[in-house]
Amino acid sequence: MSSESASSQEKDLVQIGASQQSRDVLDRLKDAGHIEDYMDGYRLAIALAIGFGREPALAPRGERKTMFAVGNLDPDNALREAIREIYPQARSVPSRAAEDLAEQGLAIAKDKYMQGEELSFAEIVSAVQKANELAGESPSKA
Amino acid sequence: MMLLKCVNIENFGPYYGKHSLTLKGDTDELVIIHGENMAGKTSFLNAIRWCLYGVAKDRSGGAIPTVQLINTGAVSEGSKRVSVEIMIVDRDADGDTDVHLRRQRQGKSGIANPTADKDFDEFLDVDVAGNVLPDDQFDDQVNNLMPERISRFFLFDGELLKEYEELVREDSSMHAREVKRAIEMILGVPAAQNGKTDLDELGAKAARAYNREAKKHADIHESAEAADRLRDEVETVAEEVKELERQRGITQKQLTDIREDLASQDHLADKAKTLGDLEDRLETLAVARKEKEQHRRELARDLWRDVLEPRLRHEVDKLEREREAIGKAMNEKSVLLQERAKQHKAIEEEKCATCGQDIPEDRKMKAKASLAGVEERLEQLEAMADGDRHDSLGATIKRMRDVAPAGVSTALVEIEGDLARNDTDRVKMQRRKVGVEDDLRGFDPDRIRKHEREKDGLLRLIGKHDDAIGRATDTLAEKRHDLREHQKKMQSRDEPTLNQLRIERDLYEGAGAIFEASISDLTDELRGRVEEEASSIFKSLTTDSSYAGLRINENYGLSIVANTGDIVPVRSAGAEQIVALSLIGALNRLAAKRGPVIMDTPFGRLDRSHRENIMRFVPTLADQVALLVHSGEIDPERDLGPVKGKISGEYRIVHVESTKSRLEKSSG
Repeated sequence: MSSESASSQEKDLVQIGASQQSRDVLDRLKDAGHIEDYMDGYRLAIALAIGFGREPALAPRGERKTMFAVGNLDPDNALREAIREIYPQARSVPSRAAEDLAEQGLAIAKDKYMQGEELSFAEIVSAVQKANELAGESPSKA
Repeated sequence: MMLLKCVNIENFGPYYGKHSLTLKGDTDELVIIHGENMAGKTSFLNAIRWCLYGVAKDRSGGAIPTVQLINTGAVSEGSKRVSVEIMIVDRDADGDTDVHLRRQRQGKSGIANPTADKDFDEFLDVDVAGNVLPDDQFDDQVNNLMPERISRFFLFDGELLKEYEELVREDSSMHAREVKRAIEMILGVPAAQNGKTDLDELGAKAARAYNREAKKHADIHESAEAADRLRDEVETVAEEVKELERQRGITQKQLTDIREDLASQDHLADKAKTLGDLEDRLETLAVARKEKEQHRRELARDLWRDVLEPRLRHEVDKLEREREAIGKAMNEKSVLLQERAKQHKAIEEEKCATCGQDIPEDRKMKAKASLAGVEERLEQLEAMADGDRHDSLGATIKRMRDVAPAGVSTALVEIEGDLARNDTDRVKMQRRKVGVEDDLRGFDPDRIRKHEREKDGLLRLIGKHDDAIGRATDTLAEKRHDLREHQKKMQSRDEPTLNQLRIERDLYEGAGAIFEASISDLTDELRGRVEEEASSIFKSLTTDSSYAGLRINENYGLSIVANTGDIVPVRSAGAEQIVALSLIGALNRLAAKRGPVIMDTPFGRLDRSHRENIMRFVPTLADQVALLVHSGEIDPERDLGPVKGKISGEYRIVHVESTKSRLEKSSG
């Protein structure tokens, strides 16, 4: 896990967003009928990055367009809690971590699992399980 | 004798572009054309039939519309032309004559999408010995070489078996009668019938001369007048009967054509139904796919929990291990604290609390040493036995466990499997649909209704013809009877000139009667010869030694006769094929006209032993034989042994893609 201190970060986000590239991936997922709305794809992307052992960057983010209120994205705080526990350095800024993880997750989906407009959820689930089985003490990176 | 030299095909059926099959154009020629099912064997046979007679037939015997004859690939590239050219050698006692026939149909200019036959122009080329003839002589040339009626015995496919099976039935259909007429034509019976017609005409002329002379005599004048009148009336009524029969024949032909067309439309109607079914099934699959996709999206909404679960489990396991270690350290610390207190007490006490004696110094030293060990361990445990951390980890583990997996991944895997199967099924059905749509190009449902109405009208007309023929035939019989009565009266007059003319008349009429009887005798004899030849061929082909031969019926139908002399009542499809081949072989040996035999899938129903026998027989079947075979009936390595050295050429019909086949000369 990153040794970067959360205290050095800005305060956490209330609105969460995505870069243009990530929004393009979300558009493709939605247009191809894989997801009902962007929020479903965004949540899945965060889980995908975590599942593959990616670390969130907490440094000031690049160009992002706001997409959702954090309260709508994670109404039962489940994602927030998972991030806070898995990434102690992000304990005070879980939304900021979530935003970066979503960027990483969408890049993984695009590069590894989208062939044209095709995408297999079964393949993603299987790959994440395998990565964590092989991970041992530290999950491998996708 | 007709011999094939070359067949050039362009855009016919599965043959995209130009293809050519070249033969020696000589006797003792055997050509094998290999092609798998659907490659285009029957289309090759149809191409020859179409060039000669302008009609290609489908499996149900219906005429295939021109639009369906043109190769689909060519059509998609904008071509509207189909063409077949045949080079023939017409061999007779005077030598060989080259005959070149070509039939081409081209969509009319100005019609972008020709569908009906009327949307096409037909071009016929006929060239005999290098002389180009007018196109209206095309049919005459074809009739001279191989009349359509007998072509079924030369251009042979599975259809003949069906027709042949009708021959052996007692209640033979009109179609069987047509086959019977074709057989008699191939055997030369019409020549004898023409002789009878000529004698009848001469007889009538002689009878008129006799009547004219008889009128000069007062006593028989009245009878001569009546006989003359009656003869005129007999001729008129006979002509009337002939005309009525001709008209009935035309009507019957129209009815047959319409029935054939309806039969072919029936086939297309079946295809249209298949297309409808396929469209329904595709629609069902599309709906099912939409529902599955929607369900998949709904499940994907919570999939993030399942994707997160392995990592959370991994983290929880790690935290639990840490918490367990802290718990152990805390327990050990608790035990050690008790031990430390005990050792402190031992060091600090001077006298034993039980016996009151002084505690020895060495025991105190031991307690001090033990206390040092306990202190050292306690110091080590100080960081590990963190109760707060223990409690905090418990809370963290609980929170992580609270992020429960949604359990949707199994259902998603199933749905994605269903969607993959749905895709495969849809692709398969889409391919079938394209094939059926190709078959249905040019299909016109209104035509069926129009033909049904025409059919009913023609059936009524045939009924009227039959009534009129019946009445005219009765009148004819009455008038002939009256004529004979008057002729009897006139015979009573004995006069040399009259006697001479009567003898002449009776001679022609007698000869006519003899010819009539002879035709009957001829057909009987020909039937006998067909039976003899066919039996001989059958015995060489069959592997069943309990069969004695074949017996022919009035329709030239052949039944198998067992050694016991009994007719074998039931025969297999394979036996049916051998009997049919025996008939064809016999007809070719006895035929007045000879030509090449081209057989499509001739071994389809046969076992290996029969296949070997027939292969041995094939080169003797006709002067020139071409076999269209597929690998299921002929294995070149195994089955061509009996004709090794007799094969003059081998071709292969290669199925390149769904709408394109290629005719290649085999290198072997």
